Amino acid sequence: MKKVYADLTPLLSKPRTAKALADPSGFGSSSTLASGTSVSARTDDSALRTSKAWEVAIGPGKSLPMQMFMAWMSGTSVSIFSILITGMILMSPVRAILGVNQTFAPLLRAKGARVDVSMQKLVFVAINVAGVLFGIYRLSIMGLLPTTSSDWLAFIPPKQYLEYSS
Amino acid sequence: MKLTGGSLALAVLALGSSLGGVHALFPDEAGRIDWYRAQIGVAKKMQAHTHNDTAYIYSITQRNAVAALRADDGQIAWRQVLSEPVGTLLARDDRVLTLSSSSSDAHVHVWDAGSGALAWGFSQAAGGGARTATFVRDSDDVIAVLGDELVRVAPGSNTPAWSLALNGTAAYKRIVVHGKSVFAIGNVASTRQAKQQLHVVEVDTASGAVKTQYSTAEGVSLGGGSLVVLESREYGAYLVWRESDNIVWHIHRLGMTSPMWEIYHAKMVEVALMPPDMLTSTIAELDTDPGLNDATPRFTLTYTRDGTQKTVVVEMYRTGDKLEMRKIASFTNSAAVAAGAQRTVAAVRTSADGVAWRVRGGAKHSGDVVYESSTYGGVTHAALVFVGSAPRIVVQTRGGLLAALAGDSREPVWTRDESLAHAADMALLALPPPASSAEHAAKETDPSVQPSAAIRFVLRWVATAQALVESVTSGFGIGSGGHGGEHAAAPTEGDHFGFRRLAVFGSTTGVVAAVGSQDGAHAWAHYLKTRVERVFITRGSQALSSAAPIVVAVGRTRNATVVTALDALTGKVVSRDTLPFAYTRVFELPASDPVSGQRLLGFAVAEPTPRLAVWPATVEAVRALGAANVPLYFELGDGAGSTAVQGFRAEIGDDVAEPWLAAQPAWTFDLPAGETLISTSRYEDGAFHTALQGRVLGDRSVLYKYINPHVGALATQRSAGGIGVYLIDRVSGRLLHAAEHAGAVVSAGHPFLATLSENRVIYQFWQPGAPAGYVTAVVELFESDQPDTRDERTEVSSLDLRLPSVVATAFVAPEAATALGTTRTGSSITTRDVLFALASGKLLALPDAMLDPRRPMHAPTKDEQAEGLVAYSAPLPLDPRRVLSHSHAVAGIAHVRSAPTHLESTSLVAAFGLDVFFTRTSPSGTFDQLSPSFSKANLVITSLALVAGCLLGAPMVRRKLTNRAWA
Repeated sequence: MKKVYADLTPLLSKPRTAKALADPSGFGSSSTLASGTSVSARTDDSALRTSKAWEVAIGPGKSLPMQMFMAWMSGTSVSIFSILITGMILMSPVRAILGVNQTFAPLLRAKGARVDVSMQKLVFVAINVAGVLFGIYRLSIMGLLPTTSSDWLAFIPPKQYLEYSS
Repeated sequence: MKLTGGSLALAVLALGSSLGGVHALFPDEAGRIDWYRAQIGVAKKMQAHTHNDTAYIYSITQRNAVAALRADDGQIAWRQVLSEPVGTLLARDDRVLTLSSSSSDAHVHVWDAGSGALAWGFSQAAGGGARTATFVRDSDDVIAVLGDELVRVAPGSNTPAWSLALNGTAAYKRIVVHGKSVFAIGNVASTRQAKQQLHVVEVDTASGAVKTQYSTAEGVSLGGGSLVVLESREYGAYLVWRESDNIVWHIHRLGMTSPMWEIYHAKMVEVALMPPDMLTSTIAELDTDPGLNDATPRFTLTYTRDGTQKTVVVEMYRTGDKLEMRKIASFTNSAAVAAGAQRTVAAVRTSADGVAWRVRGGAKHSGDVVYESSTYGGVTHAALVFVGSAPRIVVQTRGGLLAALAGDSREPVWTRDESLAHAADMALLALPPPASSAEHAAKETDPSVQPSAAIRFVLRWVATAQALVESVTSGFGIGSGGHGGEHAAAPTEGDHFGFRRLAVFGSTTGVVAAVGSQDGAHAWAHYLKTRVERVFITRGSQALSSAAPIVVAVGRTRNATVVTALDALTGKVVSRDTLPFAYTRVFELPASDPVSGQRLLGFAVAEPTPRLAVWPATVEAVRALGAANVPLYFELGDGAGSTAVQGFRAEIGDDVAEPWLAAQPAWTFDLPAGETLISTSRYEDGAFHTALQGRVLGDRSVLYKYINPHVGALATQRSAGGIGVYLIDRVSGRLLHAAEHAGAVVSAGHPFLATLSENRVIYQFWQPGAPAGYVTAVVELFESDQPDTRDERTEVSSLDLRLPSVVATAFVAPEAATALGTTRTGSSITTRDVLFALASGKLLALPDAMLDPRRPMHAPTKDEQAEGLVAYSAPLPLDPRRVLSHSHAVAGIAHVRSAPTHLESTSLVAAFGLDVFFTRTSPSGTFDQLSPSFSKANLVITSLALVAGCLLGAPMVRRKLTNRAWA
């Protein structure tokens, strides 16, 4: 098979003349490229991480409606399916809260200044807490929370009568 | 029950399943988990009669039964249980004639001798009841004295062929049909010297016209022991009597008034008879079917000489025109004499340790049977029957044993314990689980040490493991099936499930008898001579303990109370006390005797002063009661017919001198004017216990139950008609709830029945009118009508308790019931079944959810559904699947008792009265037992396979882990 080679270096090293053909985007002069990249890379990276962190933080919030829909679909009766769904709704935010540092750790691994993601973490935890609360709400509407007098009925001791009758 | 949503759902599921198709029992359980014994009661009269070459003993009993027993095996060939007392019994050819009378009517019943089917019957209003009846010879007709009328009745006729009004002042208790005449013989008061004499009316058999009537036999009466009626087909009918203070017999031929009588001297038949003996002698009829003798009617003469009672069997015959008598047999100290076919007679003599029988008249037979009269008392009745040519004597003892004696055997051919048909009370003795050999060994090593429960548990597992190893090594002996507790064990040992108990019956015939609750096998019996009214287990049995369990029978004589303590495992009498008072009620006291360790019994005594007598009647027992420091209350005037119930508080003083406690009036509950008490109902032993102190409603709030062991239900008869029902607190005397049922009728045929369990009172009565029916009312008591409101005290006094809130409703029972009960389980977690003993012989178990007074009148709302309520419907279904007695017709149930087992799901149920029926039931299913199809072999094989898998897999896993560590 015949191989074709094209040397594109002359294009890059072509002296800049007025009204010369504009570089296609991404093909600016090397100096501009070099200097521009080094400055904006540092600033963009931190913003990127921050925005990425925000994305991570509000991520669970996006899945909440889905979970609510699934919960609604599974109903409030006590069945294996609804209990599994409720368990998932409850456990995944709890697991997420416990693993909050690991979740944000990749975003902190920058060479330069540290990105402050505490706000994001806070929002992340808050949203997951909302998830937990929703799970607890689910438990309560399913009647699985010991919140009423009937839940403690079995622990009421029988009355002892002081008298004895025939 | 932490998570109520789940438990609610479970409850709904359980309820749904219970309302759906829970079977009372599976087909393969019938006869295995239950046993049934048909009874007839103690015989009033027996007659041996052969029908279709089968020898039967026909019998009428004190329990209103007419029965035919097969003489060869004692089994009931047929039985009819009537609702009123049965009097006359006469079996002839293929018919059996009985008479019975209720308060207003007299009934003639003619039964088919082979099948017991009612051939025909006749009823007539008769104030005096049915007195006597006999068959007309060579006809199917019956001539009877019903009230004050002599009637001839033909089969299938509603009106008598003829009837004759008899003298209303005479009691005509005997009729004799001879030739074309029927003689009605009655007792009348003589005009002279106000003495008794007999009145005889001779009536034409065909037309009912009076031929002649006259009085005779002054100074004697029918049934007085000094007159017999003798019938001879050939020679006519005679009266033989001895006037008081006279040594000669008068013989009168019925219908012949001139001469009125001849004189005969008894010395001619019994040379040894001396005039003083004659004055105290008695004569009695012998032939059970008089009128069948061709020529020679028989009777017995009984006299006592030198302390020896002698019975002479006398036969009357004629030579030419001359009337003669001769002795055909004589017996000494005979308890009963019976006539047999071909002029045979049998006599039975009871001694301390046996029964001797003799047959005379034809070929001589005799025998001795080992029998301890201390078990069932002496013989009262006997019947002689021939099975082939061999005589068989069926004897009835005073205590209720029916036994057949024959041949050379020292044992009875068969026996029937009819004392159970007269049971007044029953107590279930829990037997300890079988002790393993390891436990026995541990006990033998150090007898003083009672192994602790934990040690026993370990020892038992060791023994089980050893047994398992043994069974595996001796070929594979592990069977499938979950009923491990049913192997035969020694009578002193129970099973691990608590199914095996000893049921101790106390009967009004004076017998205390113990039978196994699982199979009805007899353990022991003891005859106490006094009628037994209550039975208590005062000391339970303990495993490997040398202290025997004790059962106490409380009996009554005219004005004394007899308390007999027996070893519950052997029936040996431990103590017998006669207490000098008549009690109104006996109950267990909350203390034990420091000497014997037995539970104390308390007797409510009204006379001479209200008091609480204590048994054992010792000062120490009263002191132990005082040390318990519990205020004791009891009532008097709680019997039928009372107009006021009075409550007393027993006073325990500092210095105890007498074995009783004085009582101070605490309260009086006066019934409203015009009302008298029908009955009082209380909780049976521990029936108020409940696992849950409230009812969970659909919204998960709680209505708290009003659990008060002192609740009593009084039923009253209102003079204006109807009944009243009052729930009172028996400590404070306060009225908790009152209900009136204006149209209700309570009578002997329609009794008022009640059962109390937890916070619920269920009672049943008859409501005539349209629509008529048996109404089952349910009253449920709550602490408040508001959910989540309760008295939070854990120690309360009935004296300062709030009044309950009441929810009540009524249902219509499927049939007349004779007794009510409720199942009981160990922790009262399992739902209860309400037990209806139906008059038709069924024992019906209905889930208590069906009798829930909160059932809504409309389609249940979501909350009501969540509470497990179904829409109200008045009729209670008679679902055949809920009939615990399945195919048995358990006749005459008067008591339904239930006792818990070691399994929470299962309770023992006993029904007795006439018949006896024991079973066990699981109202919520057998949730704590392996199903019968569970294969233990599969379990063992699976476990072994898993162990093998682990052992095989372990080296491979180890190698893999090592390799991973090197990588």
